[in-house]
Amino acid sequence: MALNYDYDEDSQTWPFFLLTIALVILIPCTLKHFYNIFFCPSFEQENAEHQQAPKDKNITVTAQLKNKYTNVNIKQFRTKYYKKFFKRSILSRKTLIITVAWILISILIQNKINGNSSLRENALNSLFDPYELLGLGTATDATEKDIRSAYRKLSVKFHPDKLPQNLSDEERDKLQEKFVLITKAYKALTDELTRENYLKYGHPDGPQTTSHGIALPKFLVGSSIAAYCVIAFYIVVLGAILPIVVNRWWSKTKSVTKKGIQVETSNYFISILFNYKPTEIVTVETVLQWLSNAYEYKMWYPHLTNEDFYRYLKNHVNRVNEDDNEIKYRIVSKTHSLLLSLLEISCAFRYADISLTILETSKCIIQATMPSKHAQLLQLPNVSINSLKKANNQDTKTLGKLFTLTENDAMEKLGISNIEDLHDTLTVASKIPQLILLRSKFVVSGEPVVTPGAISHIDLKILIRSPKQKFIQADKFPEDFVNRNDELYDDFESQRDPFTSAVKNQPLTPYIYAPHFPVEKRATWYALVISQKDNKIIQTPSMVSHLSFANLSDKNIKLYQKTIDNDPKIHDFNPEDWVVGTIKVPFSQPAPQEKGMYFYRIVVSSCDYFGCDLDATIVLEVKDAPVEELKTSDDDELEDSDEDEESNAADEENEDEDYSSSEFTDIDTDTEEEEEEEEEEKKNNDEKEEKNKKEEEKKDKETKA
Amino acid sequence: MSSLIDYNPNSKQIKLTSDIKDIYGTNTDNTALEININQINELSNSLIHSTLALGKITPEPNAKSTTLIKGMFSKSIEALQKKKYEDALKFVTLSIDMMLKARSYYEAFAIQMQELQFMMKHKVDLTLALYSQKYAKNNTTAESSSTTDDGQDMLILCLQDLEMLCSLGLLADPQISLRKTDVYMKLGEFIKAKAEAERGLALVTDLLTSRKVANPAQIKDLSLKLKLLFVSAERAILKENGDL
Repeated sequence: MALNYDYDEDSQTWPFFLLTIALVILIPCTLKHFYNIFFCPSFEQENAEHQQAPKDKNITVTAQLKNKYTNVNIKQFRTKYYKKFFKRSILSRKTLIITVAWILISILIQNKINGNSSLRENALNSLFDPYELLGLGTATDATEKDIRSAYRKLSVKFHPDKLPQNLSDEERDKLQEKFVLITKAYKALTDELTRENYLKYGHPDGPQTTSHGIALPKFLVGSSIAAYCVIAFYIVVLGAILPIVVNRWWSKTKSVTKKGIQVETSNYFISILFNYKPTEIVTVETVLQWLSNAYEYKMWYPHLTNEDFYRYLKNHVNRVNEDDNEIKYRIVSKTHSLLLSLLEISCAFRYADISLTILETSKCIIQATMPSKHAQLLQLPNVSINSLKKANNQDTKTLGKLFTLTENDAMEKLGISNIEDLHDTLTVASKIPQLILLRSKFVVSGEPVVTPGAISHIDLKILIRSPKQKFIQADKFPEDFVNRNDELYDDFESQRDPFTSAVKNQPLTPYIYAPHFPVEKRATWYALVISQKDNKIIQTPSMVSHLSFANLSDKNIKLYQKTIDNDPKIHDFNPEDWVVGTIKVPFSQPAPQEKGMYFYRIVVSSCDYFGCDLDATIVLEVKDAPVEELKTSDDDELEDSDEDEESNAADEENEDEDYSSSEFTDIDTDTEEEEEEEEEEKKNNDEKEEKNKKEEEKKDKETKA
Repeated sequence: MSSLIDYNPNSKQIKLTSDIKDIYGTNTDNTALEININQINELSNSLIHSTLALGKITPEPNAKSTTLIKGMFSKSIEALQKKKYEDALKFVTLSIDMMLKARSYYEAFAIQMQELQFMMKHKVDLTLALYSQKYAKNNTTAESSSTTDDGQDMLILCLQDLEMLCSLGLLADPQISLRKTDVYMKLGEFIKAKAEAERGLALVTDLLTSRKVANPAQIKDLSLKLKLLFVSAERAILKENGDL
């Protein structure tokens, strides 16, 4: 390796160096920029999408109402803070910078690389093509005979002894060089060693010398001032800018958690929950207090104290107007990510009650109302605490109840004086999604039962319905109908990852009605899994953001709407009118090693609306996988039991269905006797299993014999 | 003035926060105080980390106070037999108070806890009985909540006692779930009542399947009650939402 470095005297290398660096930066930037412009929806598009989506009429109505009842201040805040995240257009500063950069690069290529003749010569000289040198052209399939004859011809012409005498020294040297090259070319094609060198290094002499240099143009190192400039440039870049940039990047990544909140805030939450004493009772106020200690707020407004932030939050929840609404809105809009992190932390500490209170706080902040008996009604437009107080409403607390009242009664109960206002209120109320659990089960991908130690997930089939619609018993839906979408989850890819397929197969939820919340947000649920044994959460919450709201269409609401005067004329129930939603919740623990039944409580809690939660107990039944041979006999039994309805021959599969479909819904029919029967059944089953085992053993022995 | 000594409730350690010279003048010295504090910390530390069973290092409960508490409690039972709920409640509350005062904290906690659990359960039952005697007569349906503040207070106290029982080691007791469900139903919190009833049923089923129960008949009775409450909670929820 050369010890003395050459500078780039003929400007051969530095343009390449510069070009490489520039392209490494510029190409990804350009691609990203144009992708954003052409493929990501802009703020206006997003807005338009949910404000006047022509396809989904029922979303439009809520969006219009939301528009109508949203405070002007909030609208201003939204345009100010959230438009800049979406601000993308072709005529932006970024496009201009990218275009200029590309023009500079093209000039560089044209002038310094393409236009540099010495560069091209050098490149040509360094090429070694033995066929070309021997005058064989591109005839790479030439035989050894051809090569030899071509070489002979040329050596006769160029051999130093055969050269004409009247040549100048310079010409002689050139021709001699040519002869050497021809000899090399001949050897490269015939001699083993030279040929190997040629194939390996592209030259018959073996590896060519490589020169190492510094890719700086000569004018930069020529004069002493320029040299100092270069040194100064290096010092600034390596000594100052690079450390600063790295430091800033590192401190930024270090100070923010994965969930996008400050590490200090997260540490604060952890320390609170770590030192939490069971004697303390956590209420929504407590959670607001915790939130007001967030480091983010102090960063934004160093002159305000925690008490101030708490006051802002409290005022938001109590719908008190502030002099400076912008601070309040900024503080409130950040609560969402703070609450989410807090929820994850409290789930990690396994506190069920605190986690549920956190979700309740989220509802309170989004709907700007404190938890109260009338919280469900307070999320509607034209309803306030004062109007409810005036109306002295004691018995109507839920959205569903509203639709059993006549219009006059409803106006009286809600304290609304104007019929048009009432219509708005009821329209919003009818679009709030309530969940009905149809089926729930633990599923192991590709297995019929949950075996000990298996990795499973929870599969919930739910029905979204409007409070205006009648309650529908889960057993009105036939099993086949509920499970018909399971085909979508049957392929290998879905079995490998059932959660993304649940997301893929269902649309994103629409935007929520929350005129007091400064941020536009889609409806979201969080699924918490709580062990019934110790009443503790067993895993991190999983988010549900993909569900079809098709059941809330005006047409469907009309078909199944509640009747006010107990009108006997009910629309015949048809499951085809409904869309069944699927929620897949990962189950982080492997199934227990011991066979038996395990009870878990699953809470699918909305973080936006009051009265939309789902709370149910699900049973995980761990048992051995059915053996192939036994399966056939089981099927026979199934058929038998179908024929003879009164027979009590319940095999394992039947039992499974019983538990998964309606473990508690059919409790009213469950009597002590039945339990005894069940126990007897179990005993029977045990006996059967034993018998089967014995039979198997016998068969084994027979086969061995 | 900030306090001289700071106590950390999590590590159970005490710490000198300010220099004694600042308070008592220059001719005093920290050294002796620091040594004492270190001694106390050392002692409590070794007590906390002791591998001995707690019963071995803590004395048996004082027999004298035990008889006192038992006497008061039996008075409560007597009153109950005469159906004087209010008196019975008064005596049981007194006996709990007495226990808190007469028992030394160094006495074996396991024994104290059993005693307390037993009395608290009794107290909760009495409160609920008293509540239904006083207020349930006014209401025609069992599901409707009491509107009187007094009744509400009683129920909330009851709920607090139940929460306390839960934190006293009775976390997975279906009996507690049954009482909680009952209180929630009376408070009109049907959704919570339903969830609690479901938990109780799960616990009952767990007990029955484990087959380690002393008297299964009692558990079955309990499960029946829970089922009843569950169904009525479910109905109440539907009714409240206008679905029934």
